[in-house]
Amino acid sequence: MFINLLNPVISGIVPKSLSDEDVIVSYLESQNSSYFNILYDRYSSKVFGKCFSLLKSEAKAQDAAQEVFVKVLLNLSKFSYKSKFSTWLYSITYNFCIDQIRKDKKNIGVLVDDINQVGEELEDEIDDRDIMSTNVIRLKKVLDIIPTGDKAILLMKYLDEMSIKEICDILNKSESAVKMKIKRAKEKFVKTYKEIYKDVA
Amino acid sequence: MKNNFKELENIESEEASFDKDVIKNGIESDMKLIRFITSIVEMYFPKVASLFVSMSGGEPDEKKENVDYPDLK
Repeated sequence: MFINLLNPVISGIVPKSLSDEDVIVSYLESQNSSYFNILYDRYSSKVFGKCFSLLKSEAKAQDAAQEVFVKVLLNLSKFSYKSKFSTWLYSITYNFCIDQIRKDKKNIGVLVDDINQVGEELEDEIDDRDIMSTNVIRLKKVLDIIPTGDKAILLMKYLDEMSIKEICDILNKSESAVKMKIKRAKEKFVKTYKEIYKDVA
Repeated sequence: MKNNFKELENIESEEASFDKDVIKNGIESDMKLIRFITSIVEMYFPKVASLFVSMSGGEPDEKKENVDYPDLK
């Protein structure tokens, strides 16, 4: 009971409604793990979900989620508050998963920058609404088939609703390169969709 | 605007089971290990540095202190 009273979260001194940024500041000042637990409770399932979606294995996703949070803890003092904490956290998650896939040598070449090789014959602009409103089961199937690099960039854009600037920061690429990558990922998505669901497309 | 990416995320998170506590324990043990290694490095790094200085013919800082503040007697 007494120990619980000393715990700022359990004792109610720390309202769980604190913003992420406030929680980070408090954690850095006090090094009290209760503050980190708030962030963990808020984002662990999302981080695990992203890892699972990209790595396609529960065990790998669990290990990846653990390592992502360790990275976050070690680098929390470097968080600049320029972007939302969630964006920063997801950027670490995506980068970690992409690195992991590179290490596993799966989908090799997919993540390599081959912007110059493709894209000479770009189709007309694909409407975002068409992609976002794709039937969920079909969406899952197509996302599982397209290369992981394309899937990751589509998740950043449509699921996390990141801006081009934020994606640039995550991928460490120029704005034009990111725009081109998004365009190619969308084309890949539509092409794969049409191949699978010929009758509908 | 309808966004089925979000709906897919919800479905996948329901399908994929993960134990929050297992990951949390893993994070804690990783952090303990990192802190332990850091404290070991902090504790012994100056001594190792002094050893290298001595081996290369220099004078370790500990001995220099006496030279910097000589007894004026």
